[in-house]
Amino acid sequence: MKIVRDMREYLFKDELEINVYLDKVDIVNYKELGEIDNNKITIYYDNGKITINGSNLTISKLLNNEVLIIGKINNVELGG
Amino acid sequence: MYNTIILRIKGKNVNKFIERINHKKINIYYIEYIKYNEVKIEVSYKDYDTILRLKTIYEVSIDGYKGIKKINNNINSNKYLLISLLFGIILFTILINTIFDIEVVYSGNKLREYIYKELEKNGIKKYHLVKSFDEIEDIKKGILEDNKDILEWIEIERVGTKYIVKIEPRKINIIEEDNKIYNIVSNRSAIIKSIEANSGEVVKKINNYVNKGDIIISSNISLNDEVKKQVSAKGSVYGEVWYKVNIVYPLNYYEEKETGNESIYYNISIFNKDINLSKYKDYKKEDEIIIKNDILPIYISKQKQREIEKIDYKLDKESGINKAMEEGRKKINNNLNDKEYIIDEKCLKISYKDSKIVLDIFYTVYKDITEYIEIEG
Repeated sequence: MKIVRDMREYLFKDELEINVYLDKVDIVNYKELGEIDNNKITIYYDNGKITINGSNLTISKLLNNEVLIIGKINNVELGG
Repeated sequence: MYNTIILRIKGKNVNKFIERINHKKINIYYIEYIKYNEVKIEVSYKDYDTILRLKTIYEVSIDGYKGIKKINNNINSNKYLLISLLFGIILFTILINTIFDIEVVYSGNKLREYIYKELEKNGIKKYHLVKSFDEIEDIKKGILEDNKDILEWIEIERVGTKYIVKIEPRKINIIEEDNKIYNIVSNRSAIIKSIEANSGEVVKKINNYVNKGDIIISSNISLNDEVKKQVSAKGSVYGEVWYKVNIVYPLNYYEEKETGNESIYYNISIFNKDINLSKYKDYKKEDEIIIKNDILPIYISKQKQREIEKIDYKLDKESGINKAMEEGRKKINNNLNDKEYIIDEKCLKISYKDSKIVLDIFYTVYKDITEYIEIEG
C-alpha cells in the first residue's frame, strides 16, 4: 500500500543526508569516519567523501549512522 | 539512551580511540573534549565492557551514569540510609497505631475490671493495634448487647495511643417482697420531673434539683417533724438528666445494600478470578464446589449470587453533621425504655479530623432515676 510504503520510507531513510547549521554539521547515513583534525574532518559515504573545513572542529555525537560535528564551519565539500 | 554511562578517556590520540569505538558500531551519544588528550563520552551501559576491551594504552574511567543505572547507583550508595528511613517510617506507623494505655472511667472496681476483660475479649488491649471506627462501633454494640443487665451506656474514645472508656452502669430496681426497709433515692444528678409514690413519704418536689443519693421518697412517715412510722418506700421517679456525647462520624460513606435479587450461575474460578454469565454488576456470592483441582487454585462451582448496591460517597459538612447527630440520637435512644425520651439536644462543638467529623453533643433526657437503698437497722 502506498501509505505503508511512504511511512517506511519516512521512518527508515537510508539516503545520505547532510544538514548544515550555524556552527554545526549533521550527517546521517554516513559509512565511516576518516581524518579527524581541529581544522578538517573527513566523513566517507557510499559514493564518496565529505570534507568539512573550519576551526575548532570536534565531533559532538557519533552514532552508527549519524555524526554531529560542531565548531566554526568554513565550508563543506562533497567529493568522489 | 535510557541506561548510559559517562566515561573519561585519557590518552595520546583520543580521536583514534573514538574511531576505534566507532568501528565497533558503538553509539557515542555525546563527546566533550576537555583537553587535547582527554575526552568525555556518553555511551550505552551495555557497551562499557567492549570499550574496556578496546582501551589498550588509554585510561578509561567512569565519570557518572544516566538513566535507571544512575538511580540504582544512588540507591546502592545510600542503601543503609534508605533502609533506616524505611524502617523508621514503619516503626513510627506501628507505634502511633498501637494502644499503649486503656482507662475505664468508673469508680467501682468490680465493674471496671469486668469491662477491662470485655475489652480484652474484643481485642482492645495494651500493645495491640488500634481498631477502626467501624470495629469500635461493633465492639460497643456487642458489649452493650451482651451486658444489657449491668451496662446502660459505654463510650470508647481514642485519644492518641490511649483508649478512654466511659461507662454508665444499669441499676436494676427489682425489689423482692422482703422485710427490709428501703428509701428511694436518685441514682444521678437530675431535676425531678415526676414522682409516683406507692408507699413512703415524698420529701422532694417536682423541679427540685437532686444529687446522686438524695432521698426522694423516704421510708420515714413523719408528722409535725416526728417520725411516726417506718415503711419501705415504693414508687418511681423520673427526672431530667444530662449526657455529653462525643460522636466521630466518617465523612466518606460506604455501604453495601442487598437489592433482594439473587440468581444461581455456574462459575469457573481460575486463580481467584471468576468467569460466569452473571448479569449483576456487584454481588455477594456463595460457592458450592463441583470440581476442584488439588494442585492449582482452579475450580468449577455452582454460585449463588445476591445482588448488592454499593453506596459510596463523600458527605458534605451539613450532611455529615446531620448524620452524626442522628447517630448520637440513636445511641441515646438505645438505652432508653418506653417511658424515657430525649427532651433536647445541643451541639456544643464541631471539629474535623482525618476526614471524620467530631461532634460534642449535649442531651437533656427524661429518665428513670429511681434507686432503692436499704435502710440499715
